[in-house]
Amino acid sequence: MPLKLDKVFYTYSPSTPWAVDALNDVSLNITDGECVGLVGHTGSGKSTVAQIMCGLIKPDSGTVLIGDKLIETKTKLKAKEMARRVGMVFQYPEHQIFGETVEEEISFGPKNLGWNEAKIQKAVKEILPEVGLDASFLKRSPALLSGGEKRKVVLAGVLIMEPPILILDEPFVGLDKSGREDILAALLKWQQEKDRILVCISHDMDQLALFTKRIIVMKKGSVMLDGPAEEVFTKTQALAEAGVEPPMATRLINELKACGYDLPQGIIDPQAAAEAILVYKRKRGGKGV
Amino acid sequence: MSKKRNASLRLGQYYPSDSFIHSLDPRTKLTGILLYIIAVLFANSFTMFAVLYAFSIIVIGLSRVPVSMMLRSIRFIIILSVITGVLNAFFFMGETVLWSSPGGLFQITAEGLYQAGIIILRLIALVGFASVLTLTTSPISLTDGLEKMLDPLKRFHCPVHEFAMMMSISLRFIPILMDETDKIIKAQTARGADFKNGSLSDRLRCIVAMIIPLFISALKRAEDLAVAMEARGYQGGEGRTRLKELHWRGRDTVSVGISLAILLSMLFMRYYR
Repeated sequence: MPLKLDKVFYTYSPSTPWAVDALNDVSLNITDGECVGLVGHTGSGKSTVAQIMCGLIKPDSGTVLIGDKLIETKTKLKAKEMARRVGMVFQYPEHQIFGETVEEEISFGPKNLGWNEAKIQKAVKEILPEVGLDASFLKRSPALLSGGEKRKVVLAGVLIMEPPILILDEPFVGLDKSGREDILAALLKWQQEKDRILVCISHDMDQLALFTKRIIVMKKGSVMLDGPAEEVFTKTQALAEAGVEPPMATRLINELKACGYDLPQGIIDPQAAAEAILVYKRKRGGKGV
Repeated sequence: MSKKRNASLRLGQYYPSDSFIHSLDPRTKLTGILLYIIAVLFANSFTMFAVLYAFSIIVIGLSRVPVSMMLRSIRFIIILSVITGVLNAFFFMGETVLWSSPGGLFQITAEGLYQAGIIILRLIALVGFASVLTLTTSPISLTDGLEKMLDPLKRFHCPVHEFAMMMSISLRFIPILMDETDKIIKAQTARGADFKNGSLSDRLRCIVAMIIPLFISALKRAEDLAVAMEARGYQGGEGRTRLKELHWRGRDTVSVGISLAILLSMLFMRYYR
């Protein structure tokens, strides 16, 4: 289900002293199977774009097209209709966890969509292993879980509705390495399974470099850069202007190149950086650098 | 977007500006409002209200709060007072009957209409002027002013400082909790929760899904704040200094004087004419 934003503008609290122009002529086109990273400095409009994409807010002007659903300023939105198309996982699980048990928590979404009890129960059992939890969690209280487990429960609660588009706001913040790996594995599996769209807002460029193919950089409510991750992450100058730091591996390669080492462009993850350095060493006859 | 404010809820919302009214001491404004309220309660003729409204319009003009904003903040009260007024017109028993319903259950009398007019004017004057106070005074300076004014009560072991602190904390948390409610509603809406349509039980389920996270977070915040205050050695009002001292200036004396004059002229108009 393709996602298209056309000349979208959005202002918070219009015509008051607190008016904030959050989006300024944003046009984006995301096609099926894309895995996109949305980055930018605090207040650049990333979260607003995300909310526009899932129909939580409507553009002040411009249009949003989600599959065949057109959203304009005056469109009446139905929560159910949107939830079937776009799933959104917010940064703080605390903002949505309310159930007494994990089971109740995860089945909230399907219940809203009007699924019958049998279908919900089956789906709940199937979704838990997808996010790296087992059936023993079903009867536990989500409030007493660890941060990472809460995150997984929330993710399960969205994935269970099988939205063709998934938007995540800072899904990796505050997680340890294994927590990040679990979530990432779940996301990738889900995305590749049916050529779904994954949009991920994050400040963690190293994490994004591991799995996103396309990076959109926002600055002051506009799209500043948009392209393949390898290209965007190596535009050091432009990234600095947007207040974004390239991934660690890119910075390492850049530093080495600045010292005169002949290394290839467009390296964004540690694995590729290590290989490039090995290749370089081999070319030099394996005698070290 | 922490800057976001809920646009529909503006009763008691501070409007930042550097007007004359904004620069007055909160104590002046509180006293002025108090005197004005008493004046409004004494007013019982259209002439008297003309004076009071002229005074409010001058004050609103001086405060430089946009009229549209002012009207928006008291819109609800205007509707409410018109309803009250109309009901009064029907039920006030007067002598000059203008219209009578079949069966004589309701009748509109000249006195009733007059009374209704006075009630409408009175309610709008009260709330409208009070909203000038909250529009031009930040909650923090308002509680500072209150605390200072209630200072004498401390002699009778009344925990004035604690009350003021509680008030400023609760005022401070209103926008935070509103922001949070907004985020929770969005998070649940993204999960297909529909707060506007659907059957009663469906909507009830959605409301529960909103209220529980909100309560948990409010309690969590309260706990965090208490720990943070204690960690910095907070122990109440005794010997506590302020970041912003209140300064009583000439313009404050003049403003209180004018408010008093308004009240006295109302008393004069009511009892000596």
